[in-house]
Order: sequence, then structure tokens, then C-alpha cells
Amino acid sequence: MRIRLERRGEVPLYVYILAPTGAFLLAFLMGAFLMLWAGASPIKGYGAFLRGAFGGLKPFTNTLLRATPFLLMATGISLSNRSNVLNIGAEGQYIMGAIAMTWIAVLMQNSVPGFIVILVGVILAVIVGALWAGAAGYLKAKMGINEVVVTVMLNWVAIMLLKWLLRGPLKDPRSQQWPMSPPIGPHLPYIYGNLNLGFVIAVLLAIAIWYVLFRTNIGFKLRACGENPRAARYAGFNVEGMLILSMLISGAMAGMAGAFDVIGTFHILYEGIVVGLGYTSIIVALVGKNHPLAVIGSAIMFGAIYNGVTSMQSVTQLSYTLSKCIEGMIYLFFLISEFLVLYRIRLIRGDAS
Amino acid sequence: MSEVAPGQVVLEVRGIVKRFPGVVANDHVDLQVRAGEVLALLGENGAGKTTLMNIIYGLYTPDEGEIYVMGRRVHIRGPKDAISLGIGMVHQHFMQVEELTVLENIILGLREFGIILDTEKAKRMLEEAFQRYGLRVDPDAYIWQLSAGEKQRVEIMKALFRGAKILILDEPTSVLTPQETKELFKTLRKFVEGGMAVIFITHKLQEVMEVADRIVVMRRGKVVGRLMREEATIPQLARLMVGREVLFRIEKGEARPGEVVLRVEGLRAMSDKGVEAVKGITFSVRKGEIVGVAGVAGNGQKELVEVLYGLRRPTAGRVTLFGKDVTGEPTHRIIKFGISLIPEERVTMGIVPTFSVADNLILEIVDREPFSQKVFDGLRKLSFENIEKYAEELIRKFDIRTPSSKTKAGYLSGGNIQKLILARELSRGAYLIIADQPTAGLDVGATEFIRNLLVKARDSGNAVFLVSGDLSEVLSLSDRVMVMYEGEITAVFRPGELPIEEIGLYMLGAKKMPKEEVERFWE
Amino acid sequence: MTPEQISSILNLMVVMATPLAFAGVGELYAERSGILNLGVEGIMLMGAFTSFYVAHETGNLLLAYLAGVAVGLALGLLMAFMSVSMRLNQVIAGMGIYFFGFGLSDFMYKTIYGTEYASIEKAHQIAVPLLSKIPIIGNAFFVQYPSVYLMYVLIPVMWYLLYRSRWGLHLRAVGENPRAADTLGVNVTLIRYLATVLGAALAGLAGAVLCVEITGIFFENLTFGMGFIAIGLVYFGRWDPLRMWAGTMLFGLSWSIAMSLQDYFSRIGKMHWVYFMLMIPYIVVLLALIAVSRKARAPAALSKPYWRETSE
Repeated sequence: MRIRLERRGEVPLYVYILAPTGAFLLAFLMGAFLMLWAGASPIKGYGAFLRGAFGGLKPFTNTLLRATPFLLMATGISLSNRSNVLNIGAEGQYIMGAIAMTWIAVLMQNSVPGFIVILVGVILAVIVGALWAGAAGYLKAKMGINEVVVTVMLNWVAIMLLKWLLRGPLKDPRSQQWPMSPPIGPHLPYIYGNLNLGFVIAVLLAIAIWYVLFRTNIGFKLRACGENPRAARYAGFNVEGMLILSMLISGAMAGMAGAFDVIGTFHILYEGIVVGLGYTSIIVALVGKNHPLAVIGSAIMFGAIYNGVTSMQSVTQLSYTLSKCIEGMIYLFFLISEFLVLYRIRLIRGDAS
Repeated sequence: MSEVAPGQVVLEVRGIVKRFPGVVANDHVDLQVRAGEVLALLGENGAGKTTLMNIIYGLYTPDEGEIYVMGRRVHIRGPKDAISLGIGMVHQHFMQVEELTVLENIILGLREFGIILDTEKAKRMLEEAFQRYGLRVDPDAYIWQLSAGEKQRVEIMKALFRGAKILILDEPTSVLTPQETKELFKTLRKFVEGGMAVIFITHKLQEVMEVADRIVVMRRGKVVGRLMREEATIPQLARLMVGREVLFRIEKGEARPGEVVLRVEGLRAMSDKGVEAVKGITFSVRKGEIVGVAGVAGNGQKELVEVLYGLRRPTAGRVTLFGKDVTGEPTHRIIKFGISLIPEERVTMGIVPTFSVADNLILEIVDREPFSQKVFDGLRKLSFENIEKYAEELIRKFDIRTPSSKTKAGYLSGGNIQKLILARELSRGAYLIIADQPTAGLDVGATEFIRNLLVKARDSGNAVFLVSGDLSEVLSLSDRVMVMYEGEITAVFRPGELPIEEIGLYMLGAKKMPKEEVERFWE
Repeated sequence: MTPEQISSILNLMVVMATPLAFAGVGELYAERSGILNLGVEGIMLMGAFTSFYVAHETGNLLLAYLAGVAVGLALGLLMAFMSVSMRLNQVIAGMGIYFFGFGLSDFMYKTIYGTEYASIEKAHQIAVPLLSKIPIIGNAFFVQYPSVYLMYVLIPVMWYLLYRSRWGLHLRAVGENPRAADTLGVNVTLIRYLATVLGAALAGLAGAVLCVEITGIFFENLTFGMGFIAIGLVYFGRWDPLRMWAGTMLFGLSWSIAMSLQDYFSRIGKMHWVYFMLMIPYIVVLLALIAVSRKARAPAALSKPYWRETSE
């Protein structure tokens, strides 16, 4: 018996729909087994999950709020993926953006109007995030250093920087024990409940990046550079430049996400903002197939998983890190489903006789 | 394998069928090979010869069919089985690990030198084998240091060292000079006189007549002819191979050269490995002529082309286009100045396989009107309508066979990808066309089509710079020829001025024209 | 600085270098066979958790090490299946392993131990007779944890096998040109599986070492990016085990110096500067990568799946 893989010719439409759906269902099924192992009822758990994610306008707006950083970061990651460079460092760029925003707020919030604080803070966050990612892009483009390793190192530099700042220069003098910044007054305008303008900006940016990618010459060149760098070079495109540009934008979006979370969601900077949102965004981009419009849907879905698991936690006493497991499995099953879309597996008996 | 009598059938395949998505590469192929003979397997590119040999060597699994070695039915599941049955194969693209030594490449996969390799013993045995077969390569040299001829010797040695009695050679002469080819044929003769069987895969008719005892012709996956060499004629073989009468002449009139378009003076450049690959060469190309470069691959042609197209920076020298200095200009400016390139590797350098045919046709000119309109600064909005219209026109004009202009370019056949590239490069208003191996790997129909396009481009006033490893292509297309060896021009002539053997000596570096004579030639 | 201080800095350097050396040499073998396994961090986390769990439940440290290796084997098999058999994009597959290991280790720990403080009795450093008496060096290199002594033997052996043995030759050939190796009957699939699984098992061991010898507890992300550092050090070592080993010592030293300053900072009442110092090891790795970037040349077939049958 031998196993042979064959590339499918035409892929029927239902396979395209069925495969990723199956991946999600399988991941949640495995999640159910994990709950059983942990001694909780999956039915109760997923009930709470659905209520927390979609049960009414308020939970739903919370889901959209949670989706905002995913959307910003995953759109950026999609863009850099398109030029064939993997930005694992959204986490660090997000932290750097949050730090920049907080620093500006601490410095200026008592002396200038709120909207100026926000404007200056967000701009600085975008610049810092862009540089944090752009450095990795530069090292990749000019020296061929693996961007995955560089961005992860920069993540850890950012984490240590955050820990140092929260215990030193940015520490709230009134807080004795917990390392945290002073409260931050200026906030983004609210739309409904906790949902703020950040979500709208994120959606608009996703649409804008979709437009640039698929409707303009720059997107055309960027995609060509990612799909076949050699041919792009022969066509006179600046492959290194495109790579660095895509990383700069990717980092800018992650920096913006960090700033938005500080002034839109937490109104404070503390170590707890480092919960792997940047890593999750890589999965969000994968599920959205690096297509900014599809990423909108994918980000909302992952926002729902986050909120759902949080509400599940309060009902079943399960750790919120269950969401990490489910995410990891969605990622793995999604990969496998992509594979099954492209290939057919055939069993061959003996040899060809 | 025990001793076999000359003439005994050592290998037989029956009813081999192999399908790839969209093609039947082998359609019920039968074949017999006898000890003491050279069997030529003749066919065009894409006829299924290599697929058949890969099946015999165990690299591919056939969908149907049987293989017999020495009259015994065998199941070959991988190269390991083939090797133990005494089958050896010299692949067209050498199967060698560049970063390992000759010795390491030859003993790779053998068990007899222990878990901790006994290199002394291996070297001793290798020297013996070198003596026995009259071939020699330095066992401690790294593969990347070897010439093409030496690499081929390593490849043959790999098979012999494993005791191959049936030797398959896939297009072995494509990288050799005429002299090296002669040498190889002598060696093969010696092998079959010693009782081996040789299968010689080629699409070159002349070689078949020179070396084969028996000839099997394949076309579109089927065997279409079996004959003895004595009863075969070249026109007959050509007809069998292509399926129609073939004209061996290109419709090409006298060149009417005009002003100098490209002038290169004392150009020098380094290779990726950091050694000087182009060593001070001077030449020029005029309007309305084709200048061809002959030479074995790896003698600086690749680096020269890259420098001309702005992909590699020269270390010295000058390049001028219509008298204007363009030395060291980047590719996007070179494209604007009016130089076109048909690159060596069409799929990896010439197209973006995941882009549509239409997108590939405007790849370099996406920034031009009417394919995009300015939004602000460098950002331009694509006009799909105009791109489509332009693509449809080129598809018609250049006879690109594609389901539609929206089909992904990677799905096209090799010949149609090359037509796409030519369509793009000849239609964007260039003055100089650089063609690097423009017909490598294409079938006769596509080859003729593309050669005629290049001649037509010349006749309509373009300058054409042709680089090709196929000497007959250079000689039949060019108006002036230069031979490159180790980064230098060793000879310049017009086709017909020198006999093939002498050109071969220049290609091998055994002979060299004086520098003044070379430079005077371009005045 | 007193000799005792130098000695203890060097001692910690070796301790910190050990898990990196295991993970690094494992990754090096996988990459030499053509497989880029970016999941090392996730495998280390799972190895760390599993060894912690086994040590906590049984108190048997040897079993704990073995548990780390076993979980590494399993995840390595998954990685090999995805990248060798299914020919998935290795970067994406490796990230999948990372996410999976990261999430699952943390989830299992929090589910089993909740928020209570759980710890195990760590392994002890053992002094080698005679050698440990050498001034400075003795205390630094020969009063060490069991895995350190394993490292002293393992890395040179792995180096020797890579360059002198038949398997090493096959491994190198498969990573440079799998088709050439295949045509000579070398089993590309088998070699890539073995190299990936071996590499992952060593990453699992590295995780176990972290938990059993260094921390004695488990917490989220306790690898501190070491899995990715190991990948970076393979690059730094230009795919040579000995040069990679030197890289692990470099990281170990920068980490050890940063940690040694802890006492100093706590004495002057500026504890938070420790975190500032802890940025240094990561920056050192980055600078090291930049320093060798011009000379590094990856195995030619690295991260390229191999198909025997392709239509021409």
C-alpha cells in the first residue's frame, strides 16, 4: 500500500466552503474535549460562550471592541504577508504603540486638550510601531536575516522595556504594589456602549488597504514582489523597498492598535495588555486569507472567541487560556483544510500492475 | 548481474502509461534494450522520453505497465531498486550536491564505507574505478568548482561506481562543446563494447546518426518509429519526431545594419561567488542585426546579461545606449531607456505564475498610460479595461494559446509562456532586445515561431543580442558571433567564416584570437 | 570583581546556555535536512510543562526529563507530518506548532494547578571530582547540573556525526539537493522525518531542563523566547554545531551578567533596572545576527518541500 498525493484540477465550490467550516467545527469539538478533561460541561460552556459573544447588542459591541486590535494588526500582517515577509512582531509593535501613547498622555494630559493628546499620541505610536517592524524589514531586505527571529527578539525587547517603564519612569506614583501607569483621561469618542471610533477607523483602513493592494499600481507591484521576487526584480520593481514598505505599514497598524487599546479600552497601561493579541492576529490573517476585506470578518470572529471564552470562564471557572488552545487548533486544522482543498489523497495498492 | 551475451535483451518495458494532470506523458510505451548497443530515444521536448526514463529509474510510479530486467518482471519502487538492478541514469540537470566534494557525491547512499565513513578506502576504490573506465576528476574538488564536462564525468562515474550495466543518459550533450561531445561518444562506444547497454535520450538528429545502433522515436507520449541506424535518414527521423515536414532553415535575409545601438567597453563584473566573471569585454550591437554569444554555460554570459539589464553592478567599464552612458543604471531605468529582456529561466524570471496572463503582459509597463491613471504622486489606479484590451490584442497577435486573458500564467505550457514573454518584450517599444536561451526546452513548433519572431524584430530595425548554449541556434540566427570563455571574448566571426571544430576550440579556451583583432571587429 | 563572582557568572552562563544548546543543535539538524521548524518555542513550552507535571506528581526527575523528550517527539512527528508528508508552508506550520504548544501548556497548567503556587524540587548541581577543584573554571564548568554534562558530550558528538558519518552526509545532501540524494537511493522522507523528530525531542528536553534545573516552577511563557533565540543562533553559527554552541554561550553570558546585576540594583533600591538589563541578551542576539549576516549561507533546500513526481 502506498499513499499518493494528487493535485486537484478544478476545485468545486463546496470544498472551499466546507473545508474551513470543518476546521472551525473540529477545533471547537476538540475544545469540548478539553473542557470535559478539565471537568466542565461543554454545553454549559459553549452556551455561555455564545451569550458572551453574540447574546444581544451589548455583548456584540464588546465583540467588535475586542475585534478592533485584531483587525488593525491582521490587516497589516496580511499586507506584509503579501510581500512575502512574516511579521510575527505585531505583539512588540503593539506594546511600543501603547507605550508611546501612554508616554504622551502622561506628559501632556494635564496641560493640553484631550484631542491633541490623542492626535500626537497616535501619530507617535504609529511611527514607533512602524520603525519597530521596519527594522526587521530592513534587516531581512538588506542582509537576508530571518524576519521571524528578529521580530520575536524585538517583541522581548518591547516586553522588557514595558516592564521596566511600568516600574520606573511610567509608574503611577499613587500605586504602591502593582506596576501600572497613571490613569489616562483622553479617550476616543464612543459610538455605542464601550465601542469607540477605533473600530470604524480600523474598518476604513482595511478597506483602504484592500483598495491599494488590488486596485493600484503599488499593490500590483507589491503582490508581484511577494509572489515571485525574481521576476519582479527582472521587471524593474524595487523588491527590497516593497518589503520594507509593507513592514513599515504593518508595524504602523500594530502601533495604532496599541494606542487605541490604551485610549479606547483600558485607559491605563499595565503588563496585562501583553496577552498575545499580536500572535492571534497572525491566525486572524491566515483565516482571512491575507485579504483585507475577509480579514474584517475573521477579526470579528476572533473577537467573538475572546469575549465568548471570557464569559465562559466566569460560568465554568475554566482558564481564559482555553481560547489560546482553540486558536492554535483552528490554525492547525485550517492549514490541514487548505491542504485538503488543494490535494486529493489516493491509496495505491502494490505497484502499478 | 551476471555476464550477458551481446544482443541479449537486458531491459524491456511493456505498455507503460503515465498521466499527469491534463496530459498523458506516456501512452502504452513498449521498449527493448539489448546488451552491447546504444539505443537512441529520439523525440521533441515534451514527447515523454524523460518521463519514461524516470519511470525506469524508479523516480515516477507508472499508472500502468510492466518492466522486465534480464527477462524477469521487476517492481521498481525507487532509485534504490533501480540501482540494485544495475540501472544507472545521468540526468539532464545534474543531480549533484554543489556544496559537497566529488567523492562525497559519488559515495552518497552507499553503505559499504561504514557508519563512520572510511574515506581512505572510498578514495582508493574510486581511483581504481577512474582507471578502469578512463575517466578522471579530482575527488576532493567541490562540485561548484567543476566545469560542465567534469560534472558530467562525475555523473557517469556515480552510475558506474554502483555497477551500472544499463546506462541512461538524458540529453547529455546539451552542456558540452563539440569536442567534449566527440569524447563522450567515444567513451559510450567503449562502454557498449564492454557489454553494457546505453540509452541515449536526445532531440538532436545529427547525434543520433553519429552514435546510435538502434533508434526509437517518440511523439506525444507514444512510440512512433523503431529503426536501425543504417536504414534511417535525417529527414525521415525529423518527420517522425515532429509529425510533419520540417524546414531546417529560418526565413532570414541579409542584415541591413544601421547605427550602433549598444556599445560595451572594457566591462568587468563579479559573480555571486565573488570571483570575476566578466573580464573586460568590448563589443557593440547595431540596429538591424543579431549579435550572438556562443559558449558553454557558466562562462560569464549570465553575469553579462545581468549587467546589461541593470540587475548587477559592473566593477569597471562602460555601457552606452545610442551614445548615452547607462552604466550601472537600475533595471527600471534600463526598461525605460528601451532595452527588453527575454530571460534565461522563463517561469522563475519571466512571469509571476499566480498573476493572470493579462497582468503578466503589462508587468513592466503597469505605470504607463493607458494601463493606469495617476491618483497622486506615484500612486496610480489600474485600468482593468485597458489592460484587458491590450492583452487580448497581444494574445491574438502572438498566438498565445490560453483559455482567456484572466487565466493564471503559470497554467500555460512552456512554449506559450515564452510567447507571452516575447509578446510583452517585443511590444513595449524597445530598441535593443536581449534574448537569453530563448528556445531552451521548447518543441520544434515553438522554437521555429520564436526564432522567426527574433529575425522579424531584427528586420523591423531592432538590435538583438542573443545568448544561447545551442551553438547551431547561434550560428543560424546571428549576423555576428562572439565566443565567451571564462569571462573573455576568445573569438569573433561571422557565421560560415569558421568551421565548427575551430569554434569548439575557442569555446574550450584552447585557442584565442588576439585582443586587437577582437576589438577591431566591432569598429 | 572577585574570582568567586567571575566563577558564578560563568556558572550561570553555562546553565543558561544548556537549554539553548539542546534546542539549537536539534534545530540545526532539522534545518540541515531542509526543514525549518519554527515551532521550537511551543515544543519547549510543552516539554517544560510536561516535565514539571511529571516531576510534581512522581518526584522522579529522570522521568521528568524523559517526559519532556517524549512530548517533543510527539510534536516533532506532527511537524514532520505537516512539512514533509503534507508539504505545507513550513513557516506557517511551525507557527501552528508554536501556537498550539503555547496555548495548551498554559491551559493545562492553569486547569490543573489553578492559581495555587506549585513548585518542584529542582535537580542539584554535581561536582566532578578533581576537575571541580581547578580555580574559577572548576566551579564554573564542573559543578553543574546533569544536563550540562550531557551537553558537553552531545554537541561534539553531533558535530562529529554531521561531518564524518554516513548519516551526516545523507543529512547534508538532503538539505542541499534532495533530488540528487533521492536519485542515489537516499530516503529523503525518512531522513527529514528523523532529523525533525530528533530536533523536536531535543527541544522538548530543553524545555524540561528549563523547568527541572533552572526555574523549578512553571509559568506562562517561561521560555522567554529561547526557542526563537535557538533558531537565531543556528543562523549565527552558520549551520555549524560548534559555532552555534559558541553563540549559546554568548547569550548565556549576557543573560548571566544581567542577572548578576540584580543584587546590585536591589541594594541601591532600583529593582526595575533589572528589566532594563534583561533587554540586553535579546539585543546581543540581534547584533550577533547582523554581524554574521554577510557570511551566512543557508542549506539550499531549506524550507522547500520535496516532490519526487512533478510533471515537466
